Amino acid sequence: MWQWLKRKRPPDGEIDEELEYHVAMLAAEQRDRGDNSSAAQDFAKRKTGNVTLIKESTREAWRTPWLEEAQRDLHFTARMFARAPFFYSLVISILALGITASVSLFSLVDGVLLRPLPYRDPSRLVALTSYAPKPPYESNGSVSYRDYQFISREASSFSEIAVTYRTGWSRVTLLGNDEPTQLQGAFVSPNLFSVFGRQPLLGRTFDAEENTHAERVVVISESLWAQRFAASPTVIGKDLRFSGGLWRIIGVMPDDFHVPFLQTQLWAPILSHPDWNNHADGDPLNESRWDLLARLKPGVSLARSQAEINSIAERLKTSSPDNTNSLKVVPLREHFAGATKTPLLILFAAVGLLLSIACINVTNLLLARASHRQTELAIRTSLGAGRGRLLRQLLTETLTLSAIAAALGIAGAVALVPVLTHSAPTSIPMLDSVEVNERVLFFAAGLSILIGIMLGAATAWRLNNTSGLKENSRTSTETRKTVRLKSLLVASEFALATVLTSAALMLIRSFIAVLSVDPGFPPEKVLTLRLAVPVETSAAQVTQFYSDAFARFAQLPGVRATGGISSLFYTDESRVHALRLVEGHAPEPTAKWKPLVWSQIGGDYFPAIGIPLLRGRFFTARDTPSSPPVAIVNQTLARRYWPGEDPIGKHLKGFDPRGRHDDWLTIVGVVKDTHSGGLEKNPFSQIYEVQSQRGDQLNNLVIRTSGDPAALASATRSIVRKLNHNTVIANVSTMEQLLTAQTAGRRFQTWLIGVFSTLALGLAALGVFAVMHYSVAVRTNELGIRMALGANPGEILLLIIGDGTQLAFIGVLLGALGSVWSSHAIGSLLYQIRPLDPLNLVATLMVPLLMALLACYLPALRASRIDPMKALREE
Amino acid sequence: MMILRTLVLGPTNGYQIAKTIERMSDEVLQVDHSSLYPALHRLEKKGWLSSKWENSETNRRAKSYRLTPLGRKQLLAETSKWERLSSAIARVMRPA
Repeated sequence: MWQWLKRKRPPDGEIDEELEYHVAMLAAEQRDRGDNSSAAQDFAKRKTGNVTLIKESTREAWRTPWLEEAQRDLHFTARMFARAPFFYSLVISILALGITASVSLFSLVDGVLLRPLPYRDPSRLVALTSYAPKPPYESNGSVSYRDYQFISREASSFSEIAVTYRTGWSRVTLLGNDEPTQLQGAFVSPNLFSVFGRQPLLGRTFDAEENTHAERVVVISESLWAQRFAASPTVIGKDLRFSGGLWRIIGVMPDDFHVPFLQTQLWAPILSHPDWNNHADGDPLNESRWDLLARLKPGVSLARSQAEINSIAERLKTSSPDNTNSLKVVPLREHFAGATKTPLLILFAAVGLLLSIACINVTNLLLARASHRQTELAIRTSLGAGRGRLLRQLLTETLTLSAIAAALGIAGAVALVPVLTHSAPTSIPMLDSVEVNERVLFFAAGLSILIGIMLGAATAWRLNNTSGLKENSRTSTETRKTVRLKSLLVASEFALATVLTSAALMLIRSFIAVLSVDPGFPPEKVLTLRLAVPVETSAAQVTQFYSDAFARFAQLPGVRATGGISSLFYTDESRVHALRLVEGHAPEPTAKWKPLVWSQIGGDYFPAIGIPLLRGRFFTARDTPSSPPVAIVNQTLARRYWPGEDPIGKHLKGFDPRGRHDDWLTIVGVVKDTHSGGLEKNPFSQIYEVQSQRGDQLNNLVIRTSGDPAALASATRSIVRKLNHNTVIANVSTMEQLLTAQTAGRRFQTWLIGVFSTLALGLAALGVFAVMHYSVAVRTNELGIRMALGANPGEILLLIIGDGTQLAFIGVLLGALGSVWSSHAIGSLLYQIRPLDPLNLVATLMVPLLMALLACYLPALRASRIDPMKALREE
Repeated sequence: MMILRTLVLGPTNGYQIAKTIERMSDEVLQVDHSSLYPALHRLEKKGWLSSKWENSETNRRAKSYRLTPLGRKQLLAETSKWERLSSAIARVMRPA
């Protein structure tokens, strides 16, 4: 290589000079023989020959032949494209479509699942999570502080274990000159930063000493720094007010440090958490509210660390019999990507199918084109072009096609990716880092080369079957061979499209099923406010705040009822529970435990949200802290404990004591079930208490109106702000918006798969159309004979349609088999529909077949209109 | 091959090569001057020759070519091939 580079082509001037010298020497020689000067010069020129030509061919000697040929091939390709612009733009747009879809989806997969995490040696980072292997499945993934201490003392697989306060306890309300905002804080051990190997942008992080002394120092995020402090470097040393205290800012972390939570805005020493010494709300040492993030020691495998953690978990169980949870070592990426992995990979597989269909389609079109070019290729062969030379030319063509398509595809992806990330549910982590980056470009380039070579190989296979230059190379056997190959391709297109259609149909039906779930109340004309009253407010003040708010809301125009509830939805609820004591019942065995949630309500909650009362009464103003504690239960709970009986007047006791002497709660009413676990989950047992007797916060206010609920948003906001200006209003939205948000993920998947399968069906139809069109053209003669022999146009129409649908039918049958398998792959995404649903199976068969029928109709019509006389004369 | 052969005698320029070939073949082979230079440049590109600008005996700048080790090897291979071929032809043309 080095030598090749060294042997540089001489400049043109040198060649000129060299030739001049030659001519001069010849002339000199001639002069020596006695000629006069000009005659000698003429002789020398004659003898040398055409100097320009020599120069030309000498320069030629230095050119690289393959580069030259590639240039010629490219030139030829361009000419060919120009000759059939419609055909080639169709081919390129089909490919570009497939590539756009694949590249966009790849950007999503790359951003969420593949992108290297911005931490030192990220593959060594793990999370230690607890899980409950048996009922009551009561684990939030966290461990107690005592367990953390034990694990970090005993475990030798990890170089360091960082501990953080779990999410719910880490949310803080930021106070100050601006409107109070609730944001994601993190109370973390000082080694968190070193475990992840990251440095602050500005200032420093806290040390072990500051943690031990529970010093109120805080590291803030880059975005908080920009928002609140205009990214000023003088921020260090300033104070931040939250959680009832002042925290001194000591550093700024970059925005891509998504630890321990995706949207962490500030980090404070773990022991400075206000709950650390607040034993009224449970003992932090024994409560599972600590999350562990660790770095594996070099050379320690995941399996080995898991084995060690298993034995540690066993020892923890023997030391505290209450704790039956096991521990799992989870790679950090999995810990963060969580539930989005399966749907994303399914979407990626779907887009792969779409791209395959696009490629098969293009192969088919190129094959049809190749039969037109057969003569041209044969001429080139007979003029001395070798097989290799022709193959190279075909590859140049297909690679050019795929390269143009890839360029368009990348442009398409650049436009599409923002749309995708915008419409994707926000539950997908790292969505902000999804972009068309160099890895995506690399993927697109690889894809385009692969496609180019595949298409080239397919057309070359066709070339291999071309035998020399016959006077009319359209002999019937050869044509039949081509038709058979194309039929095979069309059948496989339909097979793939059927798999996609089946998946799309199942997801669409699941989505419709989810949308038609009755949430248990009419969601129209309801406004909801999510808010948090400052923690330092006393219970009596909180109760007063709500009754004031309800009274003011009632004065707004069109308001019919207002109320509040501690939590509207329990979409993450996976635990099962039983009541401590139920009148007339033995305690439930653990195996029979089921989900059970407690809510506190205030105001006219049930009328406001629209949950009907079935028996008994609602809470009234006479249910006060001094009156006997009362509860309202839902149907599921009533059936669970008192099937066939009237639960009114029955007594029960929950997890925590009520009243002064652990009083019994008396059931005063039964209400209709709601899908409080989310639309896709069956209703579960729910107990409602009145807020005034319990004193908890009602984080969700509900207002039923007679008009457009959204119109009241700003009025309600200002009422809350006036009542207590330190209240955080996290969200104001209509009930319908909340329910729509619950289905965002499903909507996204269904929408994408639906689009993919529509495109796939369209391409498959185009494929069968192209083949039938070609086949009619080839069979003009035969069809003419048939008609001359008495076949009527109707018969011809049926013949062609029959031929075409037969192809599709074989493909659809194969596809149906494939969809049996694929429906199990998407099983986890289905709702109220079984993988082998008969109706779905029928639709899966019918939809592609109908498409095929439609696609065959045009060529068939053309065939039936053939004039037999003309067709025969043409031959 | 003949070009390579003439260069065994030592480095020289294009004009001299043409002269040498004509002389060595007793003027039987007239060198086609129009194909000499392209051939020289092809050989140079293949790495069998190297070239240098030198002042010739007439005190003009002339490009002189020299056989490279690679070219020497090539000449050897070609010569033996040629000898095999020519002796074969000779046997056919003048059967003993």
